Amino acid sequence: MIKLKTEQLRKSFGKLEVLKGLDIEVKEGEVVVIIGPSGSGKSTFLRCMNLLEKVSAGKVIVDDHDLTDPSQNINKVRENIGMVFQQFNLFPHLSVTDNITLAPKQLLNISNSDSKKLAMKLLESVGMEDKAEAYPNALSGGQKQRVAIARALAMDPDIMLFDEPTSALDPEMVGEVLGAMKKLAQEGMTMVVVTHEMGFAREMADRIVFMDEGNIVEVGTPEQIFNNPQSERTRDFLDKVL
Amino acid sequence: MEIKRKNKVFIGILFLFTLLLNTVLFPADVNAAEPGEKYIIATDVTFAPFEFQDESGEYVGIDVDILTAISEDQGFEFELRPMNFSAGLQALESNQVDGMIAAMSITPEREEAFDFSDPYFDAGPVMAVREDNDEIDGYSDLEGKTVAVKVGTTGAELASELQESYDFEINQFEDSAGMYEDVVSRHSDAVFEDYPVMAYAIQQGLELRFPTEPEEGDSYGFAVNKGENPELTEMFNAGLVNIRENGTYQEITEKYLGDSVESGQQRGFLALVQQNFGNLLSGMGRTLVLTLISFAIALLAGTIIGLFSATPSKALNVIADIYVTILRGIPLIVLAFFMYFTVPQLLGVQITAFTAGVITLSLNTTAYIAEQVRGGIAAVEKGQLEAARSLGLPYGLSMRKVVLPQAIKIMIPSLINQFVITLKDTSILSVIGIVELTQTGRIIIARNYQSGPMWIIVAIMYLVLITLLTKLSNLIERRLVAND
Repeated sequence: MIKLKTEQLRKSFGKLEVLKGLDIEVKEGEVVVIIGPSGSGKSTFLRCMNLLEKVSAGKVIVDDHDLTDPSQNINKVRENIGMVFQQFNLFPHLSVTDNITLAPKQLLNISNSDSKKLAMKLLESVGMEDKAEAYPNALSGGQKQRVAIARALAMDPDIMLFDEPTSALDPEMVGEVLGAMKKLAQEGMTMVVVTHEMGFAREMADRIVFMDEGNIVEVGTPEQIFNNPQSERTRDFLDKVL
Repeated sequence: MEIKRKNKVFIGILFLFTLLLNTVLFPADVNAAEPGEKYIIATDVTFAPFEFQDESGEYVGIDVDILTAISEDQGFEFELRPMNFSAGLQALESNQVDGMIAAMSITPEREEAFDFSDPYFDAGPVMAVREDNDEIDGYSDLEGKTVAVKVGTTGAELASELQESYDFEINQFEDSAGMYEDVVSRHSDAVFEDYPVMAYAIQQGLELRFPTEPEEGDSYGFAVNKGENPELTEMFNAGLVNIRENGTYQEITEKYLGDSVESGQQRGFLALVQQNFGNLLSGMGRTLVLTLISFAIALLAGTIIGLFSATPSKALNVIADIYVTILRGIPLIVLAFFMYFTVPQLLGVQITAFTAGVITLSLNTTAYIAEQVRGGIAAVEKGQLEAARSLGLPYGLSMRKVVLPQAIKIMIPSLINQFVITLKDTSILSVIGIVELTQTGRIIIARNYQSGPMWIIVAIMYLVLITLLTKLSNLIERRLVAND
């Protein structure tokens, strides 16, 4: 079953077209990793999938809802799509628990004790239960990103978007975040991940999308992309990063 | 998109609410006097012996006593509204007041705009110089010198007539005390003022002398706006005849101009504070009330306008931009005059000086706070709003729960700064006759001519008030930031 699909997705900033008609289908439980050089439009593509970035043309369809339809309640759809950012974007004025419970409390009307239980459960799943009362400033980068993953899961989404989740981390902290992501993938979460972590891509991806200059150049299994790339540009890129 | 539409409605409602709040807070007080009701009478704040505050804060003087005697004789009530002379003229013209008694000379020009009573006092302008000035013995000695006059007075007219024959500079002042001080402190060489006023001031210890005789006198009259309140001038005229006949009039002029006048002023800093403590304190109180009310309104309105410029809606951005551009581009003093004199003429309503002052200060402060709110919101990382929106929180909720709490912390120091500026700006509202701390100082100086120590006292009071409030705000700021 298709969870998320884009059709001829285009995005321009002023006169500059950064996405040039992209089509992708993500099936339920699938992990799709998007790789490509900087400036290839990977992050913009990802941000279009929950309409954080306004789409210039084309469609984004999530669970049969067309997000580009003006009558579509975008907030309702976003509840079902968790997002993790490169810069974490934790709310600095709220404790770890309150970061996680903000959306459920505001949108689901659940009780204080239920929301606390939910927060603890999510924190345990990323191994952060002992920092429940801490404020974001007191956490390391890796801890922040794990809390951010827990927060993105708070509305119980079916799809998770990861926008270069390890790029702002010190190398020794990359592992803990990738670990949390792997666990999520193994539990069957549908995931779209923009990353430079080729190890993660090779190990966890069901399919890899290679992007360059606003186009999808090649799509394939890790085996196909890493061992037998069809395009010259893919080969060039992999030569540089591997 | 649906969220956007909801936002517009929400903001629209807020806007209407503010308008409503404005009408509730500042009802246009329509007190156009009808016979038997209280008349509002403008007078000068600083023109002893015709009108000035005595130590207990009561308005006294020849004008005040004559008007009181006449009102008792004729059986009407009045409320005195002291303001600068030129402001009084404008207030009368715009029907903000019903009449004006302020040692006002009856001149042909003024008779075009106002209806005057019969003359109640004869006086002409006279020139005065410093006691120790032996250079100036006549008008011809003014060549190349500087002369101080009060805006809109016959003294000023005489000076500009003389200026055609003798080339001298003219310094314009809004009140008598400032004009005298300008001569005493050697900025100006001579001053032109109505004879009785200056004679009284010299008796009170002002170090000036008259090198020439007073000019042929103009007559003072009580004025109403052209065609308005004719019964008031009729009563004034009838009452004037009566109090002249029964000797009250003579008692009053004797009281202020006779030889029995004593200089009751103690000199010295502490004595000054002691004598005027009550007045100064109530002036400071009014400054504080003006500031608090205006700042509270501006905080609410400024936040709304600031949010307007932060929303994605182009229309709201433009509204906020226009508001800030206009209100930041008009000097506070001009806005105060506009609110107090122009708006009532355009709308045909009367508003009190205090209300006009609060509106002026709120409108002005709103523009600055709106900019601070906009800046505060812009200083919150873009990712914060994105993270909130990606969780499914609508725009308004995301702003309220995520962006604004962070923006407010960023804004607090500049808001404290704005509060101090607003407090100091209240002094500008003295021009429309609000007796706040600065105006209180002026009034006291008009009575005792001790501008030197008086301005030091006023400055210290502002300093103490602002320091205390700043310390308090910093305490609150630390509390708020401590939750981080």
